[in-house]
This record gives sequence, structure tokens and C-alpha cells, in this order.
Amino acid sequence: MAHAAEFHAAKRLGRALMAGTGLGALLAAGALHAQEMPSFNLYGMPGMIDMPSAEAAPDGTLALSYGKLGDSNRGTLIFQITPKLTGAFRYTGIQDYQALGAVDGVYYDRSFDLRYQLWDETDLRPAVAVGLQDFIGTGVYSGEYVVATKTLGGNFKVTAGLGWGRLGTYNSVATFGSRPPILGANNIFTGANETGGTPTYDRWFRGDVAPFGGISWSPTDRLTFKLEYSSDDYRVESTNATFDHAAPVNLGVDYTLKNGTQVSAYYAYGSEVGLQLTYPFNPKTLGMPGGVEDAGVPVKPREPSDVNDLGWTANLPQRQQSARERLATSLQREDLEIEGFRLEPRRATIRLRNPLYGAPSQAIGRAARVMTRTLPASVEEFVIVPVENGMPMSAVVLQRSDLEAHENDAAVEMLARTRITDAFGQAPEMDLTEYPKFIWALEPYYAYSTFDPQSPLRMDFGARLTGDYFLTPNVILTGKIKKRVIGNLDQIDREDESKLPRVRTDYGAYNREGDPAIEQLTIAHFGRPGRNLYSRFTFGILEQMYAGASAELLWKPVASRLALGVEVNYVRRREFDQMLGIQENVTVDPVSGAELTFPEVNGHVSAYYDFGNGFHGQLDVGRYLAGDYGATITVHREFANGWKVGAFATFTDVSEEEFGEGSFDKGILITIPLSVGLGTPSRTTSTVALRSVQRDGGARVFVPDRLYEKVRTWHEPDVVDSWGRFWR
Amino acid sequence: MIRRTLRRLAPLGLLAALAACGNSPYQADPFSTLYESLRPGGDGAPGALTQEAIAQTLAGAGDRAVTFLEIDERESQSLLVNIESNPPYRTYATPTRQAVTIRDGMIVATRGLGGDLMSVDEDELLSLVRSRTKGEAVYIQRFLRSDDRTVPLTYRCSVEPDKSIDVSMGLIQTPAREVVAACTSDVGPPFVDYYVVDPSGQIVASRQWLGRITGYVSTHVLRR
Repeated sequence: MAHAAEFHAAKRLGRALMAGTGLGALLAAGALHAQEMPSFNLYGMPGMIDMPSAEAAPDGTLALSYGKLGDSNRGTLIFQITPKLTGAFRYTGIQDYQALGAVDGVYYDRSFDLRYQLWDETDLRPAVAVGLQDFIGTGVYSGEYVVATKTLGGNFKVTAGLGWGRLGTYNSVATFGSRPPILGANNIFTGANETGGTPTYDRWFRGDVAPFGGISWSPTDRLTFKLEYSSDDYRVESTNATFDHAAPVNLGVDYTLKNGTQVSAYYAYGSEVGLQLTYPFNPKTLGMPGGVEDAGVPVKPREPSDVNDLGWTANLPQRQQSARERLATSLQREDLEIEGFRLEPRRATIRLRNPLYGAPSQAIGRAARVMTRTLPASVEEFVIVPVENGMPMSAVVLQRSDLEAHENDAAVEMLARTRITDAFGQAPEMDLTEYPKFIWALEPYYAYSTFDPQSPLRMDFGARLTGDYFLTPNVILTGKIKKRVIGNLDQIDREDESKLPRVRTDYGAYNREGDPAIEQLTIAHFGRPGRNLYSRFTFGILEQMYAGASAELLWKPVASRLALGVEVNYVRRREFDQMLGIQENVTVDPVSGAELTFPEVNGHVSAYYDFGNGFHGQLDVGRYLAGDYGATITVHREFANGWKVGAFATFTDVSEEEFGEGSFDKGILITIPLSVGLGTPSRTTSTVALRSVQRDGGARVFVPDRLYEKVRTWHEPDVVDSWGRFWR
Repeated sequence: MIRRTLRRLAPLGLLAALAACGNSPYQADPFSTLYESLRPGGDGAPGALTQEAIAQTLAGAGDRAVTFLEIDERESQSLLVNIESNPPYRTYATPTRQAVTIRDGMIVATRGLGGDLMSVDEDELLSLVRSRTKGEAVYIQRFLRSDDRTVPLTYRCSVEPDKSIDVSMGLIQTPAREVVAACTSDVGPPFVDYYVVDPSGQIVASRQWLGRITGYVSTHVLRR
């Protein structure tokens, strides 16, 4: 080909220039100024071998780690909540454990850590952090520390700190007040409090204090050698299990694989061999940026001479019909649907349904570009009204000339010229030509149960048949039925006594007897009763254990970061076989034989707040399933691509003794968007809730299609967060 | 073809679902995506275009502008056909619905390549390149991060004209001048762009940096 030589010349020139200036080497180095990933210790936290350091992972990092040291197994999930705050959730199994609390010779425990970096490192100053380890719970790992880490020349890092609690047990140098012991007579581990699960603040930074420290050396980017002096004497494991603490010095090596996984090997405490795998990743950078889906259509600019041509309006109804058809066809190519359309001489309004795009701005941007290609030239204002379950969520107002002028500018230019207002009263009539409509799907499902000592992870895999019958866009009959194919959730036979009505702890019976099971059979109505108001009414089989009726009203102004909601439910307990039967709201405790009734009516008032920077909070106050009154606090950090990491805690008028193990309901939530794996848009996400223990206090009924998440998707704060996708 | 490498990410989707069916056209179906990623040859497009394919596209595109595009690292070639103009910008598309927007031969946006160049501030750079003038220009490239935030990378580019050449490719025959732009940034990787500019200031061939994921692409105008 004639031009091939030219191309190669261009390439050669490019390469020669790069080599000549040494730029090639810089390019290979990849990310400039990126914060480096620290080493992770056996607790899964940034640290050395068994001891913490003052380092933090890059903001937003999630890291999964599994570490084994002798008979101790630790699985940890950490999250870099803010650039300075690190949180950890850990599940531990100590094998060959002889004392109280062991199941088949294994002691299982859950623990939470928090670390705050007080100062980051500068040329002169070390990084300094303060940390709480295992600060909620029975406290087998409970300890606190203050630690400093400094990077020296020659790829050396030095860490030194002071530890309390477990981290102050070897060669302590001082004592700060008194600390309730976690070891009873003969050094048998008894825990900080009986039921566990409450913050052990009466112990923090008290008792014996001991120094620890270490040094690490990284001769290459991939390899790190570590040497540390540990202030942990492993008394719990030595007395109750088979640990042999022969020396306070630990040696280790980390090797980082190409995908970032760290593989570590240790020789610790003069007697034990340790191994660890850590996989850090970051929702900010995981997956193909911007996705790999097809391009949207380009804007079609108008001829200036056509802009004031209103001749077509002589036959408006007919033009509206033909424009609607062309729009529907073109939107379908973008995987969008039109649910209503109003054409005026200077303005066009569409009800837009977005079944696909996770980023609301992408759906709006694609629809707007299609409108530039299909509508008469005199139509200057586009009003896009996104709908969810038939509810108009907001009215996004765009000027056609702005779309034409800023198609190739930074996306913020268009954002500055876009208005998002309440859709109440602005949406065109629902177009019912395609209704009623039936959508069905046969999909795989999984279900899980965690942290049962007899089997810490149980799972079911199977098939779920879902059918949605849309009488109109906002009146929907939904049925879901599932059948297990393989799994062991039916083998849950743990029966702990509950002093409350067993509103959740009969999950074993539901799992044993419910196969196949009707998961949901509801009729739901969604509406817009007024300005800033959204409503839902659901009747039928709501969830695995409850049937009944649920009504919800949400107040959410379109530009507001605050939303308020109220939900009232009337529920009846379902039969264990999860078919159509219901039973009285009476439970029988298998251990005590106590017969307890619980009320039909429960409900909450809720406040939701978007703090900005991806942080969201929710407060629910009301009556829970067992009839207990209280409040749930949920906070989470969310990334615009759909990842969420959060935690919740519920405090009700049930005492710690009545609640049982764990003392109060709490857990962490992780939401993973399917689009990360696909690389193409999807609104499907998968949420994992990890509760330390499922008990009956502070339990809520799971109602499908609660309003807030869907509503805020189309409101200003959320639309702005993902606005970079407007032109994608 | 361009997306073959990207599809290797697809098996991750299996974490969330295995296989599904139903009558909803929007249901995510990771299974078929996985299948495609395993199929030899990806989309079935050839790595290198044949003379016949180029001739066919030129004939089939009527009198529309056609540009050849090669993504160096992916060793993929395709022909871009002009589908829309929003002066001074022209949008070109591949048959597989990827789009590249070009202003006077300079690429200002891509869609569907993965790690797309979302937009640029090109006025200063383009003005120097078009006038084949030595000088300094500020140039901004904007990308999306995986969490959908826009990341702007501000570059300072040194533009320098080089030797004159005669261009003869496709339907283009013209004298032209080589222009080189070496760009550096505090936040992005440095790069060197190479342009072949005709006397009217149109870039008729080039090698341009489109960011870390796409890397360098070569363009070649076959019909204006």
C-alpha cells in the first residue's frame, strides 16, 4: 500500500523522538505521582508482619486478605474510608482451640478495626497513626496503638510504636490505669464482655504498654523484606491453643504480582511459619474507564435558516405522531425507551425509561442527541423526564443550541447550561399503547449465610424465574420463584435461644423447608401525589418470611441533599415452606419453649442525606419487626460507577442480654456493579450484607422497590456526580 | 477487533451472574460476552485491512470523507467514514459503531474504543500545527476514570515544524510539511505527536497520543 511507508516513517520518527528524550522510559513507568500501595500485615491492615504501621492505602482501596500464622487463620476486608481513615472487618478461626467457645476445636471470632492517620509523611516528619484493633466484640485481638513510619533513603522504611492491650503484652514498659482482663483463671480466654459486640471503650489505651517496631527494605518495586520486633506475646493462643511464643522477632518477605496481589511468607515468634495473600483493588480504577459500549449518535446541527421555520406546526398532531415513532426507533438503538411524548412548536418533552445505563447522565445525553436528529428544527427546548416504575423522577431541561455548541467541549460546559427541575405536573401523559406488558426472566441466583461456627460460609446456587406484568407503567404485578440446584443452606441446624419473638432466627426452618420457594408475589402501585412527593403501595408476599402490605411516602426536592420518608407495614409471618400460606405472628423458641407474639404493624420514619464526595447517611427511627422501638444508622461511601461500601448499626429498646450474641444488630454492606465485570453499561448491582450475627432485635421487613435509591438517581446531586458520561 | 482485548475483562462478569434468559432486551448476559471473548479472532475483523476492503469502503461511502485509523498497540486497523459534521468538528464511525471526532485532522474525541478520549482543549495546539509554526501551546485531554469522574490532563506542548514531504495516499496527493509536538505534564504521561500538514493547514496523516489505554494511533486521510 502506498501509504504504509509513510505510516512506518511516522512511527519511527515518534519512537526516535521518544528514545532521544528519554520519554519512553517515563511512559513505561505508568502512573506518575500515584500513592504507592503499602504492605499488609497478618491482620490485613497496612503494616509489617504482625504489627501495624502508620501507612494508609490509596483512598478508596478495598483489600481482601487471608493470613495464616500457625493455627491462626485471619480473613480480612479493609476499606480506605477516607485518605486518612482505614476500617477493617475480620473473621478469624483459631484451630486446635481447647477452651470455651470452640466449635469442633476451632474458635471463630469477628472483629472490627479503625485506624486514623494523624499526620502524613513529609520529608522531615514521619507519618503518625493511631489505631483501635478489635474494638467491638469479644476482644481476642483487642489492642490499641500509636505508631510512626518514616521512609528513608535506599528504599528503607522504619516503623516504631507503642501498643496497649494485646499489643502491650510482651515486655511492657509502663502501665496506664487499669484494664479489665480478657483472660480469666488459668489464663482461659473469657472475653471483654459476655455477649460481645459492643465497643470496649472502657479498655482503650489502658493497662500495660509495650514498644514495637520494625524495618522494611524494598530492593525492587515487587519485592519487600521485613524484620520486626513484636509486642504481642500470644498468651491467648499459647494457653488456649497450641501456639509457641519462643522469640519476639519476626521475619518476612512480600512479593507483588502483576495484578497487585501481594504474596507474603513469614517466620514468626521463633516457631511459626506464616503465609498471606492480599488482593488490593480500587473501585475508582477497577474496570475499563468509560466502558467499551458503542458510541452514541452525534448531535445533528440545524441549518440556521430552518430554526424559525414553523410551517410544520400546521399539522401538529400528525407531526407529533410521526416524530414519536422516529424517536422510539432511534432511542431503541440506544437501548432507551419512550413512555410518553409531547411536541410543541418550540419544545419537546419525553418520558424516558432507562433500562440499561448505570450513569443517569449517559441515558440523558444519549436521548438528547437522538432528539437533535429527529425533531423539527424549530424545537429549541428538550425536556427529558426520566421515569422509574412509571413515576416521573425529574425534568432535565436542555437547549438544543447548547447541545450543538458544546458537543465537543468539556462536559461541565453542558452541565452549566442544564436545568434539573421537579417533573411533577410537567410530564406528558403515559403512553399506554404497549400496555399491559409482560417481561420475564430466568436467571441464576445465589444465597448465602455467613459466620455460623458450624460452617462459616453456606451457599445455595439455583435458578430464579421472575415475571413482571405491567398493567400500566406504574401498576406492576411481580412474581419470583426460586429452586435450589446445589447448596447447603438447608443444613442450617443451629438453634440458639432467643428471648425475643423469633422474627429472623427461624431462618434455618425457612431454608430447610422452602425449596422451591415463592420469593415475591406482589402488586405494587407507584405514584407522584404532589410536588417533591413520591409514593409506593405494595401488597402480597413481600419477602422470604413475611407477607402483607407496605405503604411508603418520600419527600425529596430535586436539588436537595436531604430526603425524608415514612413507611408503614402490616405483616403476617409466612409458612416455612414459602408457598402461599401464612401463619399467626406467634413464634416458639426451640430451646426455651417460650411462645411469643409480635405485632402486625411496624414502620419507620427515615431521613436520608447526601454529604457530598460520595458519602451518604440514613437514619431510620421506628418500630421493628419484633415490636422493639429504636433507630438504624447507615453510612456508606459510594462511587459514581455504582460501588458502595458502608456499615449500619441498629439500637433498639432491647437490652444486650435480650438481644443475645452481638448485643445489637450491625453489619457492613458492599454493593458491586455488574458493569465492572462486563465493561458495558448495566443497572444491575449485587449487594452483600455481612452481619456479624443475625438476631431478632432491630430487624426490618425487606420490602421490594423502596423509593429513595431510585428517586435520587435522577436528582441533581446524583446526576452531577456521573455527568462526565453525558457525552459517552 | 479493537475490542478484542477489552473483552478479556468479561469473565469478571461471571462473579455476578452465570447465564440468563428472558424476553427483556436489556438483560445483561455475561455468558454470551464470555463466549465472544473466547472466540478466536474476536469480532472476526481482520487485524490488517486489505486493499480490497479499502477500495470497497471508498466506493460504498459515496463521496463521504474516509480516514484510515490504526491503533498501534492493538495492531488493529479500521476505516473511519464521516457520518456527521458539526463545524469545525467531523464525526467518523467504524462499521461496529465506534466513533472518532476529528477537527482539521486532529483527533478530539473517541467513543467506544475503551479508555476513550472524552474531549480536549485543542485550539492553541491546533493553531500552531495548522500554521506549521514553532511555538508552545497548552493542550488539555480529558478522560473518564473507572468511577466516572472526569480527569483532565493539562499538557504543555512544544511544536516544531520539520521537513517537507510529498504525500500520495488514497485519493490524496499533496505537498506537505511534517510537524512534531512534544508534550509533557505533571499529571499525565508525556507523548510526542506527529502530524503531516498540507498547505491549507489540514492534517492529512498523523500519529497521535490518545491516552494510556488506547496509546498511539496513526491516521491517514484517504478522501477528504
